[in-house]
Amino acid sequence: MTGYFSMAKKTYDLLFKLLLIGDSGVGKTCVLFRFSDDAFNTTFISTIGIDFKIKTVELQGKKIKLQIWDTAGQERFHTITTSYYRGAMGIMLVYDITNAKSFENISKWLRNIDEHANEDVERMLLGNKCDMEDKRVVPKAKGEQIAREHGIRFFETSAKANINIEKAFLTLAEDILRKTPVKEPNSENVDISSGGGVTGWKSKCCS
Amino acid sequence: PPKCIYDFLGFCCYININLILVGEVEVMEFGEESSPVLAFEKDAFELTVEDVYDISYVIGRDLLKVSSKGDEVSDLQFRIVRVLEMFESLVNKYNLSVEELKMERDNLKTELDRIVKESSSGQGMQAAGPNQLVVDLADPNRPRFTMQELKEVLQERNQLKAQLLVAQEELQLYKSGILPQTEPAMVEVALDTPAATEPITRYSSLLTTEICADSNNNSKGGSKHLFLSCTTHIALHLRGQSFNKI
Repeated sequence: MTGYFSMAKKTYDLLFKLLLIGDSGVGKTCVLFRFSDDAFNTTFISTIGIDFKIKTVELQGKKIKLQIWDTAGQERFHTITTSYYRGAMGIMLVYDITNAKSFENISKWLRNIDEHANEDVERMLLGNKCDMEDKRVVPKAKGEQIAREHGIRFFETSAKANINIEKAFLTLAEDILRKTPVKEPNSENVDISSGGGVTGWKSKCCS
Repeated sequence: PPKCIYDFLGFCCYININLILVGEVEVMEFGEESSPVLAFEKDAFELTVEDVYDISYVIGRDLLKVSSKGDEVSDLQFRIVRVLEMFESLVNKYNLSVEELKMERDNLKTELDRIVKESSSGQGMQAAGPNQLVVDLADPNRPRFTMQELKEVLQERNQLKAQLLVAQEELQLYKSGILPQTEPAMVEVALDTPAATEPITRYSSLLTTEICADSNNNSKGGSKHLFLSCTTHIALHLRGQSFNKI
């Protein structure tokens, strides 16, 4: 397989699979939409189960295809969404700075990551809607503190005002890239099956 | 008007009959045509205790006329008093019972109305347990599909979306002339589920119409490769076994 494909030119060098999780309504889909399409939509449509978007970025001279999975925050989709944790190389946990409950639930989401995701998954915490300063209930320091406690990166973002969105995704991709051994890309595939076949990642980091 | 059945006993005392009852004795005079007599004309079930007092008054008054004729009447007087006492109790009890039944009936009626209203408006959680949901079959938006079915539909949707993206990307490269003549570009689609055979078959046949297909099938380690080459080399790499159809 490797020999066969190494002679072909690919449209990207690496494929990273990312996952967005967090309470319903914190803005996961908007964060992703801002990053992938550089747009913002105010109408709230709850994500059904799971969706994805693809965006190719260039980092350190490498074309990296980001396959970003957007999960439904609603509890009723829990069994569907958790089956996608296993294939993720990076997970963005999003809360809403104007919603205290979404911040309180961070520990619940972190437990979900521990239970369902790969052990070496890169995690990142995002406090979204930071443009709504007048409705803020979660101080920035509290977000920084909980991120520090769990040893993960933290950004306050706004999909609406386009604050830190690209920075967050690129930083997460860089962190994953740093862990990725330099190797001739081969079997990066658009793998749309849930969980299971993490092509390229497991074999890379474990071989 | 008389206030108790013993009113007439006032007359009895007056005519010197041996009576033990004192206290509430009242002497009252009524004309022959006054209202107490009307109590006799009433329907038995409409009698009130006041009517009983009227009756006892009239009987007492009549007894007064008779008693002057002999002592033997006094025994009868006591019996009449006793009967009137019983009569009073019965009428009293009857009226109370009717009142109680009326109240009970009204209570049940309101209770019934409440239950009927509840079961028609709300979906009624009465039959369901704490972790169960009652589904209204008339609701067009009621839940109909299982989580597994939703999972499969979403998987298929995402699968098709992935394939569309691959095709779009390829088309873009094709249109913009980026695709180099010497170095063929490759697009690769890995599909883990057997269900993916159908769309990929269509996809490859779509490509063969545009590209003169020179396909050679390689078998390597359980996976099959379909290699289409022309100006563009598109390799559809299929992991899985169900590709023998093409």
